[in-house]
Amino acid sequence: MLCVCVFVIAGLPLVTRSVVRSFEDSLRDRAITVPMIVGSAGSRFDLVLASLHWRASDVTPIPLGVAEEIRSEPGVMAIPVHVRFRARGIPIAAVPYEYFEYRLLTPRDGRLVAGLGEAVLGSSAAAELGLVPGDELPSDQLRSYDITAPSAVMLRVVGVLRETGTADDRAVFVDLETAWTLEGIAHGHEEASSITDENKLIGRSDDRVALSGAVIEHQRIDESTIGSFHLHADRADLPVTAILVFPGSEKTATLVRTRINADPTRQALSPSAVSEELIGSVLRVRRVVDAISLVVGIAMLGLLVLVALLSYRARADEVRTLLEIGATPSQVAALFLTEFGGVILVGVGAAFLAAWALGGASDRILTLFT
Amino acid sequence: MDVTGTNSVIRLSDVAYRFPGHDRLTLRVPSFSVPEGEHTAITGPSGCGKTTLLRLIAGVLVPGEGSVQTLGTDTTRLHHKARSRQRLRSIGMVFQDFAILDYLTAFENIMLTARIGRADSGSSREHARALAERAGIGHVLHRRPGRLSQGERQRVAVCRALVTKPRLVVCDEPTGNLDPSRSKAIVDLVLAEADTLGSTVITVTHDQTVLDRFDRTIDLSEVATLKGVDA
Amino acid sequence: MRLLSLLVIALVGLALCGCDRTDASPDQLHIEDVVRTTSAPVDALTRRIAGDAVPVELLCPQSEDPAAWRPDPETVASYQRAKLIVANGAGYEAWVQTAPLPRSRLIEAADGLSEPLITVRGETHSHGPEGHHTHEVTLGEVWLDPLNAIAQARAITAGLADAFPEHQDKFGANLDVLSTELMDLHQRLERLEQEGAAIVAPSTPFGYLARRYGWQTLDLSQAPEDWPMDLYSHGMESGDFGSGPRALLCDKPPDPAVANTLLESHDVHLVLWRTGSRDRGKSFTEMLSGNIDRLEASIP
Repeated sequence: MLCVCVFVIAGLPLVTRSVVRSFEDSLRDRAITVPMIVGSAGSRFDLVLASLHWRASDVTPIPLGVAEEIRSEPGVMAIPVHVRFRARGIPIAAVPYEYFEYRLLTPRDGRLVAGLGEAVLGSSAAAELGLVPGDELPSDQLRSYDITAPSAVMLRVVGVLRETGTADDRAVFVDLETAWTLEGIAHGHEEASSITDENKLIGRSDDRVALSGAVIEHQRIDESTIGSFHLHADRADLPVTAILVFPGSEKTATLVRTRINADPTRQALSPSAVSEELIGSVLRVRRVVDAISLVVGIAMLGLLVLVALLSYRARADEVRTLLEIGATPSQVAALFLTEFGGVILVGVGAAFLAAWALGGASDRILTLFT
Repeated sequence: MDVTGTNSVIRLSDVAYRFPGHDRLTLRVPSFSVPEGEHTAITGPSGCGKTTLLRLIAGVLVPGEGSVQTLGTDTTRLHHKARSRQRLRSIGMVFQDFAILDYLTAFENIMLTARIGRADSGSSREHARALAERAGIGHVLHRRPGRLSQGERQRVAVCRALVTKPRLVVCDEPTGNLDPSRSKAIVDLVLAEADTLGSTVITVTHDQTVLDRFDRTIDLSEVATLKGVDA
Repeated sequence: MRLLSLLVIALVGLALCGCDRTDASPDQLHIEDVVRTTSAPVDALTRRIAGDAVPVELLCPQSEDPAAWRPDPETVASYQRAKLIVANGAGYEAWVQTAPLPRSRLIEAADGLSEPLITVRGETHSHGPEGHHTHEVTLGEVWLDPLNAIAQARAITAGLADAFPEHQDKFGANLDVLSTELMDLHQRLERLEQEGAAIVAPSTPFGYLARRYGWQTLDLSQAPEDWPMDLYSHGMESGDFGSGPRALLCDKPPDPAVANTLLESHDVHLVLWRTGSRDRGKSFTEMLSGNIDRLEASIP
C-alpha cells in the first residue's frame, strides 16, 4: 500500500513530464523532418496534424497542380499527401512513392504499393487490424446514408512496413490514385463502346458515347477491372490535403513561401513553428498538472511520515529484541530505514518505469488524443 | 548456593540492581557463578527477578553496585557498544515470546544475529542450514513466521541464538508457550547443540518437566533477594 | 506488492514494445543509376541521347503493345527504383496514368510538345459525384511527326540532364545530332508537301503526321483489330479524297492482293509506315527514313 502511495506521489509528475516530453519530442522530431507544408488556408494545427500525424480530417484540399508549380522551382522536392479516408478506423494516408523513399519506409512483409487499390499497412495498423499481405481491407464509407457518395473500395493488402516508432506505424498507405478512387474522381466501369443496354446508354455518335447513371462502377480493383479505371479530371486539378515541401535553399524556400502566401486561399507554413505553438498549449496544461501534483505530493508525504512514525511505535517490541540480541541503536535505525527506503525505492522505481514506458508509447498516446 | 571456580563463565559479586521508576525495588545478588560448560536452570516464582538476572548476565542491564563478569569480562565497566558486541559474538539469547521478525523468512531470522554482527558469510549460512536441519525446520526456511507453527517459531528462535556459535546461551522461558513434549524437544535441542559447541547454558524456566535435563537447578530465592516491593 | 509487481511487469512490457523499433533498411528503396523506358519509340530516342553515358532499359516485352500493357508488381517496382523513367505520355501508356510511379523522376516526353494533343474519341458519363462529364481519348502516337519527336527528345534531354548532370554536355551533343537528323527527315516530308503529293493517312495512328504536313485523313477508328484491307477501299470511296494517284499509309504490312486491288481500282498506292511502337532496339531515324523512302518511292 505504502509502495502504491509512493508510486502515485512520484509517478504523477514523472509520468506527466515524460509523456509531455515524448509528445513534444514526437511533434518536434516529425516537424523538423519537413521544412514546409503547403495547404489550404485554415487551421494550421489541422493541416500539420493531418499531413504529419495522419489525423484524417476535413482539411480543405488543394489541387495537385500546386505541387507541380512548386516542383518547377529548381532543387525543390514536393511530396503531395492526401488524408481524408479511413479503413476500419485507421487513417488512409495516400502518398506518392517518394514518401516511402523520404521516410525510408520499407516493407517488413510483402512489398510496397505497385498499383491501384493496393495498400501497405504500418506495423501497428497491421497488428490492430490483424491483417497480413494477401488480405483485403474495405475503406470506410464517408457518409453511410448518402447514396450519392462514392462507395467504399476494397483495398488489397500487399505489405506491412517495418516499425518506425512514428505516426507512420498506424496508417494504411495507398497511392494518390487510389485515394482519388475513394473520392469518386477515378473509377472503373464496363467499356463504354461495348455497352448496348438502353438503360445505360443515352446516346452514341462517331466519337462520343453518353452513358447514364445506371452504369455501375467497380468497387473491387483487380486484374479484371483495373484496366477500366480512369481519372475524371485534369491531373493538376486533383485534390490533395497538403504538400510536403523540401526547398533546396533558404532562397528557394522564401520564393515558394511568398508565391503560396500571395494566394489568400493557400498557406505555406513551417511545421516546426506550428508544432512549437501546439507544444506551448500542452506545456500550459503540464504546469497545471505539476501544481496539482505538488499539492497531492505534499499531502502524501505528510501521510508517509505519519505512517513511518506509527509503524516505528507499533514495532517497539521488535526494536527491543534487536537491541537485546546485540544490535546497536544505529543498526536498528539503519534496518528500519533500509526497509522503509526499500518501499520508497520500489515506488519511485515503478514511477520512473511508468514514466519511461508511457513516454516510449507516446506516439500511440498521441494518436489517441489527436 | 555459591559455586566458585577459576573457570566460571558467569560470576556476579555483590550486585544490586535498582529497577528504574521503582527506586526502592532492588534485586540483590551477593554471589552467583556458573562454571564453563554447565547447563543451569533457574526457577522461582513470578516477579522474583529471574529475567532481570538473565539481562544482567547478558549485559543488557547494568547494576548500580557490584560486578558482573560474563565470559571473563566485567560488563559493568564496558561501554554499551562493547556489551552489545559481546552479546552479538559470544552470547546467544532465546526469548520467551520468540521475538522473531514477521517480515523476514525463517532463514533470514536465523541469520539476523550473524547479519547484525557482520558475520554473514558462506560458512555461517551453511552452519545455519545445518542447524535448521537438525532442529527439524530445514523444509520451512523460506517461510515467513506467519506460516510457521508455534514449535517451528521457537526452533527458529533457538537456531538464531546458536548460529554465531556462542560460548554462553541465555534462555528466558524457552518453552513457555509449548506443550510438554515439544518443551522437552526444544530443551534437548538447545542442550545438545550447546554440548556440541562446548557452550554454557543458563535458562530461566517455570517448566518442571524439563528440569531433569539440566546439570543444576537453582531456585533464585537461594541466591538473590528482591527488596522494597512497591506498595 | 503483488499488484505492484504486475504493474511493473506490464510497464516493462509496454516499454519494450515501445522500444521494438527496427531501423528501416534503405536497400529496398535504393535508386538505381538507370533509365527505364515504357515503349520502343521513346526508348529509341532516349538511347540516342543517353549514348553510352547511362544505361537505358525498356521493360515492356516485345510481344506486348505498350499502349495496352499492364506491368506486374515486380516490374512496377523496377520502374520505381529507376533514377529516371521515360514514358511517351499523351495517355499512350494507359498504365502510367494510374501506376504509383515516382512522378518527380518520371518524364512524359509528350509534355514537351507545344501544340495541342489530338482527341480521337470521347465518352460522356453521368455517374459518380460529378454527374455528366466527358473524358476524351487522346492520340498517343505523337512521335510519328519528326518535329514532335524533336520536342520529345528535348524533354528527354532535360530529364536526363537533371538526373545525370555530370553527362549534361554529352546529352546536349547527342540531342544536336539527333535533332539535325530529324530535321533533315522533316524537310524531306515538307518537300513532298510542297510538291503537292496526294497523301492520305488514317487519323489513327497518323493524326499528328497528317496534321503537320496537311495530309488528308481517313477515320478508321471503328475498324476492328483484324480489319480487312478492303476497309481502305471502302474508306477511300466514301471520303472526298480527289482523284488521280494517291498514297495511302498503313501501319501494318499490307496484303499484296488488297494493295493490288487498291492500285488498280482506285489508283491508290498502299505504303507501309512503321510506327515503331513494337520495334525495340531499332534506330528511330533509320526507321523514319525508311518510311519516307517508301513514301517517296510510291509517289509517281
